Amino acid sequence: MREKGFAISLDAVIALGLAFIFFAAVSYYFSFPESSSFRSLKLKEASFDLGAVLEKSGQLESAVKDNKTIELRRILNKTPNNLCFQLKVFSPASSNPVLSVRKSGCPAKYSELTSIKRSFVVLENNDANFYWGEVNAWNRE
Amino acid sequence: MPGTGNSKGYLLSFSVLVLFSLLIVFSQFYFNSEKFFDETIAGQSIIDKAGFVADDISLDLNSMLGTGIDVDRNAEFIQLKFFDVLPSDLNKHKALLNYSNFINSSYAFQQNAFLSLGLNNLADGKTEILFSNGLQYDYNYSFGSSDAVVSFYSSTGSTNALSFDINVSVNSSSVKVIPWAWNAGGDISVNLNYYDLNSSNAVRVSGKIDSALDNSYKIYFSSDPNDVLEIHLGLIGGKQKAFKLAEGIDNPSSKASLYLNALIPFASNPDFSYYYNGTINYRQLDVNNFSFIELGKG
Repeated sequence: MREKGFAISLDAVIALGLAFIFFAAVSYYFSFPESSSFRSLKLKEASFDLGAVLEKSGQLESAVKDNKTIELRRILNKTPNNLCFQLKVFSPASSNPVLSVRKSGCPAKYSELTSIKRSFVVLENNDANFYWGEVNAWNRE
Repeated sequence: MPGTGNSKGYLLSFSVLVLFSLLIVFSQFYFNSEKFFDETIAGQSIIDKAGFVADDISLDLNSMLGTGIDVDRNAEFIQLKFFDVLPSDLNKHKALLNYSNFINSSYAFQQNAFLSLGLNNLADGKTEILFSNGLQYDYNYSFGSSDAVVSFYSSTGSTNALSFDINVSVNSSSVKVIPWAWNAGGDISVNLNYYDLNSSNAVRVSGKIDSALDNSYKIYFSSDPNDVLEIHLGLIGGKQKAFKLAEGIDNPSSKASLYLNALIPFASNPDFSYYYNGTINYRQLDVNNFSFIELGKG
């Protein structure tokens, strides 16, 4: 009789434990309503911000004028660790990028990639030349 | 108790059915909610992109046209600060036309959107920055001439400015200065700082002027009366409490740098924005944005 009572108690404890784990897992899952679109939006917004910072700080214009990517890479390397970025700069005259730089330690390995494009002006020799920068972003895997 | 086993079986089957049905209903609900969530986010992304493109174009234009603007505002006043160089190194007319072509073709294609810029009012020899309270800042770049004029006024009559800080520097040597008449009983406070390569003509003075007059400060760079830089303040072309800087220095390498700071009462209108007198027409899927090219909000 005692053994039966012990088995029932043990069964109840295990059932309660399982129920607790189940509810904890469900609550945890629903506390992060993150779909693939949401992740994509976050990547896109990070790319928008990065493009705006690079243009407004004058780094895109300087990089084209000096034909150097050192400063661009330095800025890319300061972005959050879980995000990877690649920047390509194009001129309307060619389909090949004028400049291309990727964040250090970010191999082109991704399950999802977002891409945005931002135009900018390079003032040189009393003339204005137009380019666009393409920012590709993915989550580090 | 032969019936007890059957009842237990029915109960078990019923429980499984109920649980299974709940699972199906929940799956359907979750699938629908995620689909709705995805659609909402996709729509949000397209709206974000319209704003991003407008910001991008506004910044490009500002890079080319060169006028810097800062706006400080409190409950009673607004302080407008302008930075400019006269004349510009850039052929603005040509640059604006080329930029319009670039945006309407290459850039629109890259953005996978319909884009059309209306820059005729900027490429006509005068770029205008319009403020939502009726103020206006014009940069007049004459075709085929190195002369340039900037003016700040109100399209509705008076800027109502209480004070102006005017800072001008020129990389040439002036020969003569004819100042305006200060008036201790005037209604606009002015801080005027001027210097060029002839330090004896430097001006650093504060005072008041009468806004009912066209007060002009003229700095000559040779004996030619047209080789001159003119600073005007007051009643200009029928506009009250207006400002004008006209650069007519003959030496083509001469540049005048302007930093203008105007203090203006501003209590009535809570919304304040300023924009170029040009339009952007952007369309992508359901998002349609046709507006002035906004430079900022105060």
